[in-house]
Amino acid sequence: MDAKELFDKHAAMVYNLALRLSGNAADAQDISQDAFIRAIRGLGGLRDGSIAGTWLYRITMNVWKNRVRSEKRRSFWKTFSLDREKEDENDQNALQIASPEPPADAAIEERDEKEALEKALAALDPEDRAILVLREIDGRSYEEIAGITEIPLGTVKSRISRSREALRQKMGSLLKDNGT
Amino acid sequence: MEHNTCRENLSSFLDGELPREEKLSLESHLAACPGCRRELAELKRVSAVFRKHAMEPAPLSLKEAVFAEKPSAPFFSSWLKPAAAFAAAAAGLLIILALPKTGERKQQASPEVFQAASPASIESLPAAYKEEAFQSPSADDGADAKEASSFSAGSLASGGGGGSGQRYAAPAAARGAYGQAKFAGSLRSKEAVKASASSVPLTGDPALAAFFAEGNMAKRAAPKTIPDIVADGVRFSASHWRETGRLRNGGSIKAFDARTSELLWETRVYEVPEDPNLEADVQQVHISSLALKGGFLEISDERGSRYSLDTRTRKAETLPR
Repeated sequence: MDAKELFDKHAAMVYNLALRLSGNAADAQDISQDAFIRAIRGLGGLRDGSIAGTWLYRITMNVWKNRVRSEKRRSFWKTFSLDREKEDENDQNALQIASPEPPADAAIEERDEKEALEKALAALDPEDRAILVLREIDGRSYEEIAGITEIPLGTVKSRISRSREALRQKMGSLLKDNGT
Repeated sequence: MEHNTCRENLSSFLDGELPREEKLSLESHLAACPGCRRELAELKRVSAVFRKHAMEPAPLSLKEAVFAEKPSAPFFSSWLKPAAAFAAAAAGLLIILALPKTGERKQQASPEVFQAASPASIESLPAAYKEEAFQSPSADDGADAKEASSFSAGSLASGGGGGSGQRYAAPAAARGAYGQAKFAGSLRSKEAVKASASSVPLTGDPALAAFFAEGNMAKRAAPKTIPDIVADGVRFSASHWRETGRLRNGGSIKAFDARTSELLWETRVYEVPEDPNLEADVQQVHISSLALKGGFLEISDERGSRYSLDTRTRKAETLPR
């Protein structure tokens, strides 16, 4: 697998992982960029192309973790928009991520749904959001997720369950309204 | 299966991650419990909403940023091409004249400003960050870690070099091309040196296009990491990177409340004019030392200039060298 192929195949996932971890587009781009640059450097040593995704997502997680550590050390958490205690900022953030275009009537429901999801997601732990991306979007097994996030398997299971439950609670009325 | 156990397992059930026995047990509970059935249905809906809305398209600029490295935009803008061509040709001539000298310099293993490395990596990663970033190699990313750590060590070693007067002595354009050629010479063949010396990165030479596409550009080494100074509840920091936003060519001092880490003030001790026609990072002049003496921060930069900053008035003045 060459670098371009690696990028084309995994850019969306890497970016969305980074977006859910950092909570904002600018940091997501920086993290994705760092992750790809690191990955491309090490690509020659990757023996099994089939694990490129797992490997790349783990690098992405590590880039984010190191950033957080480094930011924490400089006590720059405040400027980061994803402090869980700052509900207001989270709400604003959720709106930033939401689509900026004014929706047509038919799209209002969809927009509400997306906004509700973003708000609910903003209250989750960044890592939990990333785990959901790996599970729901990339269809990774719990074991693979444990490998990527370096979190024990049992914890992955309980965190997915807890995250979904939190989303269910927060998006409650919407889920009921729409029926299933 | 008890109701509570059932609820705990619904998510794993949904993902098909429940062991067979538990799955059977849960299915029989579901058949008898409308509450759990409803909850399962809602969890399915949560998943569906997430799948539908959670993905954002990756920005187009990401690919550019990863693959095109970061040549400063004006350098590559079309009206500058003739100027860039001329500069590179002139630089090429200098390189040919300087080649034997280059060999000597290598043997002396003196600190080099110009690094053969991915500029994006160097620029975006503070030295301390790089160190930790690669600390946890694992079976999967061992190669990455190995490669990255050797890169990290190399850039740190040379970044630590102190005296820097001569670093900025040569014309900047020539330095840039010199660095490129040096990189090519160290990793590739002499032909590559000649190619990069005699042609221009804009002329469509496929070898060079590939060379740039792979992200090989000459960059300066990462600046020295300056430890923060804490005194009387205030932490003074001369960070080179993110804290200074996009103004990364140095000279910025920040003061934080040592306890709460709240930013108290920020000031620039010196300005570094930036020539937009040249790569930005080779022009950076970072702070190389920081000391606090009686309410005054004594600051040196990589050119060897010295400054004194009154931490009370935040006024800076230049000191004799």
